[in-house]
Amino acid sequence: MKKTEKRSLNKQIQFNGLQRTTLILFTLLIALCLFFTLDLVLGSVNIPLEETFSVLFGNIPLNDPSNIIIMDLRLPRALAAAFGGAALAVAGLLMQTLFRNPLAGPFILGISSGASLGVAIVILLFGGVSATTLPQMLRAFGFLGSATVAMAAFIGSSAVLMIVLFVSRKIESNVTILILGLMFGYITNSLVTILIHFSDPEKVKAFSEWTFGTFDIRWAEVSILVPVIILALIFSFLLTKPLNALLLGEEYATSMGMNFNRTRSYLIVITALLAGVVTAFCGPITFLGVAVPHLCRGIFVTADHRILVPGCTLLGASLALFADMIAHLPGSSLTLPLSSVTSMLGAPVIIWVILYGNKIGRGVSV
Amino acid sequence: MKEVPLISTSELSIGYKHRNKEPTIVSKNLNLSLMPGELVCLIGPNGAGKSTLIRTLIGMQSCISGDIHLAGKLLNDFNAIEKARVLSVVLTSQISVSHFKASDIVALGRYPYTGWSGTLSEKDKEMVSYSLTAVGASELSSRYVSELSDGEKQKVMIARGLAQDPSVLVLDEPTAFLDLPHKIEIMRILKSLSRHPGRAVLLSIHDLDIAMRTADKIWLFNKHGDFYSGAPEDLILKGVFGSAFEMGGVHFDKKKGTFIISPEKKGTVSLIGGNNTEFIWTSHALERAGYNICTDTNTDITIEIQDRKGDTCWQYMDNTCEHDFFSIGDMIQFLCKGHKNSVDQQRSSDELMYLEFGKRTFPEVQRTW
Repeated sequence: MKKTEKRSLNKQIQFNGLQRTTLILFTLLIALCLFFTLDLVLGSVNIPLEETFSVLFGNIPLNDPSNIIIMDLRLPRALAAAFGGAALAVAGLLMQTLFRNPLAGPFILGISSGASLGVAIVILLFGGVSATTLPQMLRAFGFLGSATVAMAAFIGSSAVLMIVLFVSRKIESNVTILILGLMFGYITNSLVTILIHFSDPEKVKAFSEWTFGTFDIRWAEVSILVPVIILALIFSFLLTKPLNALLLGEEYATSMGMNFNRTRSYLIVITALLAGVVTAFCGPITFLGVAVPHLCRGIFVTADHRILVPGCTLLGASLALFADMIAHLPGSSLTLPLSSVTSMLGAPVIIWVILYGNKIGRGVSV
Repeated sequence: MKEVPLISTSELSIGYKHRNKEPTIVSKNLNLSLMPGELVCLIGPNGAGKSTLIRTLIGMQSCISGDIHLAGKLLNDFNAIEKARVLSVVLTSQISVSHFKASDIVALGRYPYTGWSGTLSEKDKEMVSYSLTAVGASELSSRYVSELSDGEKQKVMIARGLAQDPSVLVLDEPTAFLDLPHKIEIMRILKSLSRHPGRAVLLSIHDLDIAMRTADKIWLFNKHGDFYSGAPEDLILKGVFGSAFEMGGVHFDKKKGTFIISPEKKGTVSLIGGNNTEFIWTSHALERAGYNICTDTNTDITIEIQDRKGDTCWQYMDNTCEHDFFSIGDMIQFLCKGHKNSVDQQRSSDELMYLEFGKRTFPEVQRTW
C-alpha cells in the first residue's frame, strides 16, 4: 500500500511539473505574440492596433502609408527579430551543452568573428562602390548579393567553429577551448581591422553598420533567413536526446550508445547555420545567445533539452522583439544600435538571475 | 551447460599508442574472464594499469593486441547501442550538471532503448524507479543533482548504469570520494546487484580491506604490471598482496589481511591484566608506538591494567620508576618521550621545550656540561 501511495505521489509531482512547464511555455507564446504585435504598432509613427490588423488582413489599400510602413518595413523587421532571437538563443544553448561551458555562445567562441571576417571580405573587397549603406548595397547585389553575404558569413562562422572543434578534440579542459575561441576571435578581428584600414570610407561605414546589428532587413533577406532558421530549429529539436546525454559528458554519452563525432558534427553545422545566417543579415548581435539559455534553465528549472529548445526559441524571440522595440525608440525617429540595447537590457537580468534566482536556478551552470 | 563468460580476454595487451613510437605497454598476456553472478574487484597500486584495463574493457581505449569478448561476441563487432544494452559504466569523473533531477539522470540510462526524442515508455519508467529502488535511492528521485552529497550522487550514477539493464556493470573507482560508511554501503549495493541472474559487476577500487571483504574474486595488478586473479583468500595465501603493494615502511600482515605501517622498533612490553577489550586496544596502541607485546614479565617495561574503583588505570613500571595513567593517550605520550625520569615529568613544559631546543641547537655545549 505504501508503494502505491508513493507512486501516486510521484505521478502527481511529475504531473505538476509537466503542468508548470506547459503553463510557462504558453505564457512565453503569449508574450511572443504580444511583443510581435507591439513591434508592428510602435515606432517613429504609431499605427493604431485596429489599423495594423487591417493592414495584415489586407483590408487597407496597398499605397496607404501605414500599409507601406507595416508591410515593407515593420513586418520583415519583426519576423527577423523573432527568428533571429530564437536562432541565437538556441545556437547558444547548443554550444553551452556541447562545450559544457556556461560561458559558451556563438559570439564567445569566435563564430561571429568568423562571420564578420567573411562579410568584411565580401563587403570591403568586392562590395559595390556606389552603395553607401548595407541594405542599399544588398539591393544593388539583388537576391544574389544577399545570398553572397549570407554564404560568406556562413563559411566564415563554420570555418572558425571547425577549427575550435578540431582543436578541442585534443584538449580536455573547457577553459582552454574557451581561450582558444577567444584567440581565434582576435585573429579574425585583426584581419577585419586590416581590411577596414585599407578600405574606402563608404564601404567601412556599410560594414560598421553591419557590426552594430539591426533587424531592419528586407523581404529578400527574410525569405532566406526564416526558412534556414526554421530548418535548423527543427534539426536542433530532433537532437534533444543526444543533447541531454551530453549533459553527462562525452564519455558517458558514448557509453550510453551515442555516436559522439556524428552528433558533434550535426551540432556544429546547426550552430553555424543559426548563428551564421543571423550574423550575416542582422550583424553580430551580442548577448542573446549566452543569456537566454541561462534564463530558460532558471525559469523552467530543468536542463532537459526537450523543454529548453522550445523554451529558448520562444524566450529568445520575445526578448529580441522587445530589444528591437526599445532600439527603435517609439515616438521618435532615432534608432539605437541593436547590440547595445540587447546587452544593456539583458546583462542586469542575468545578474539578477545569478544573485536572486531560486536555489536550483542560482548560479550559472550548464 | 557451460556458462559463457560476460567478459573474457585472450592474450590481451593494454597500454597507450603513440603516433610515431612503439606503444607503451602497461600489461600483456592478460587472459581473464568475468562470469555471471560475480563481483570482481580490480586492485593494484597507483599507476599499475587499473584504469587502463577498465577503459580498454569498456572500449573507451583501444587495446594494443589480443581479443576482448563481451557476452561471447567480439567487442569490436558491437555497435554503440547494442553495446550499451549489454555493458554500462560508472566513471570516476564527477558529473557537474545542475537543474537536473536524480530521476532525470537515471532516465538517461534508458538512452539505448528510447526513440529519437528520448520519451520514456511505461516500461522505461518502471525500469527507472526499479533502478533507484535497487540502489536504495528512491527517495532521492525528485531531488536536484546539485543538492546531493557525493555518496548520494554515486548511488544515482549507479542507478543510471543499472537503468541500462546491462549484463555487465563496470565501475571505475566508485568509492573514491566517499567516507568509510558510504564506501561500505556502495559495496553492499554492488554486491546485491551482482547477485541478479546473468549479471556481473566489475569495479576498480583503492581500498584493499573493503575489496577483500566484498569481492568474489580479485583481479590484482602489481607495480610491474603482472596480473593475478583469484579469490581474495587464495591471493593472500599465495603472498601476492605483499609483493604487489609493499614498499618501505609498509608491510602486509597475512593474519590480519591488512597493511601495517611498520614503525621503528623500540622494545618489548609485557602487558597484563584488564578485560579483553581493554587488553586489545592497549596492545594496538603499544604496537602503534613501536612496542612488541608479550605476556611474561621478564621485560624492562611492564604495564598492568588495573581497575581502581570503576576507573581503568594503566600502571607503568620499569627499573627506575612507576607511573599511573588514566588514559592510553597519556601513557603513549609518556612512552614516546623516552620515559624520562619523574623529575623531568614535573618540570614545566616551557623548561622541557628549552631543554629540547638546547639539545638540538647546541649539542657540543650540552656535551661539555
